[in-house]
Amino acid sequence: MKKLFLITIATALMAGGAFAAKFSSRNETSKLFKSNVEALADGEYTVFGHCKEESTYCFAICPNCGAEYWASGHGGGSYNMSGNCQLCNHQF
Amino acid sequence: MNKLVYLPVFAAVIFTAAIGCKRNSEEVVYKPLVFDKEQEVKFTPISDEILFGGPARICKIGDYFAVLYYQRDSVPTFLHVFNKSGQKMGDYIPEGRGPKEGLMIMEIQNIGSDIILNDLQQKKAMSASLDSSGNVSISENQRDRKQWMINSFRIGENYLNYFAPGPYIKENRPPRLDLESSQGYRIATFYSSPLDYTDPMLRFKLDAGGCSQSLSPNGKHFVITYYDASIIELFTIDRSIKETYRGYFYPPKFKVVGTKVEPEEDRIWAFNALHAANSYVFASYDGDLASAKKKIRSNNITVFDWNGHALRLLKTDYRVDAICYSEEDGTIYAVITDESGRHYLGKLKIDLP
Repeated sequence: MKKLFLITIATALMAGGAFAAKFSSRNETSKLFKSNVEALADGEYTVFGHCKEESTYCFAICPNCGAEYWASGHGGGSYNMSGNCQLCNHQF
Repeated sequence: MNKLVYLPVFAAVIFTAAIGCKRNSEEVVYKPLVFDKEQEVKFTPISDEILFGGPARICKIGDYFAVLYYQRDSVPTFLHVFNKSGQKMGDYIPEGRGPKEGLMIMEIQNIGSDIILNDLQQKKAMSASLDSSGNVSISENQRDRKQWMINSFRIGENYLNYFAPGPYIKENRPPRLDLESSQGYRIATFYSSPLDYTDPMLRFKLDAGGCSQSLSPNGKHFVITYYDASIIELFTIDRSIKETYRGYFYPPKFKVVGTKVEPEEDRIWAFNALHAANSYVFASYDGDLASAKKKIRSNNITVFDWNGHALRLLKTDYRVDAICYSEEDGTIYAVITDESGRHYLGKLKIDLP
């Protein structure tokens, strides 16, 4: 009985730890997108990501319908794109 | 009888092995980029600081420079004309949805004294004509743009179009390149890609937003380079699209996580600004790991001939954001950025074979 109790506690602790880690990771991701919100949000679009400044331009294309989103005034390829395409409503 | 039963199994094993060998023999081999000559050179800035924002393109028309960049201002503008002394003569094509205004202009093409500007979002092409006094007149025409078309270049009455089809498109995928008549029918197509062997999502990421294309002024040569993969493709255009050279120097280093493509630390920054001249290809190049700590990135200029021969690696003192070459005076003109992030027009006299 005591052994079962210990196993239950350990499992609960592990689950809690995993949940905390996931929540923390999600917060980090959220911070990343917030810190780069200006990247592709210059227009009226809802696509966020990260621009590599050193390149010639930065833009993203919805992989579902081909709608273009660009960061005016920013440079570079785009990474970790995330958003909702306004044309086809595809989430990427 | 028992032996005969094993025969089809044996044949299947041999067939599978043969297919495997064939695939291996087609695997791409990346070889380091080696130049005939490497030299350290210095740019001469010719303008005051410019309020540059990406994207950037530059071309020389007579005694003037037409430069595409997004100028953050009370009224942002896309096209800027400078004289040969680097003095700005005017700002054109303000941001907006109206006539002679632009929203998403990422490429310019120089044909004679005209500049063609394609607005991807408004599906229109604008033409800016420079007269001998540097005055600019702008006209525009609506052009139906096909789905997945990223770039388009005019060759006479025809267009050379570059496509990056989405990874979910399984049927009726457009070609990578097509040559389209003014009436809209396809004269020629080209499908093959150096990224055929990779994940479709990764290929889309690199094809759609991770590479540059440039057409030579005579409309006979075309080049594609990648930002995060050291790969160059050269084409000859003549009522057909023929790939004449494909150079693999360093592979893309990305991992695909679900529907996202994430860059890896050990990828290198490869080509950046690109310019196809009639005799040579010019591309700014970094060549170091993305994680490298350098004061200036993409400060090298690579020079190739149209046979894929790597002629020069010019190590400059500025980041090179846009580039063009004047065959008249053997000089590279560029939008350059110093260590502090200030932008200028610069020139660099070079000696080529």
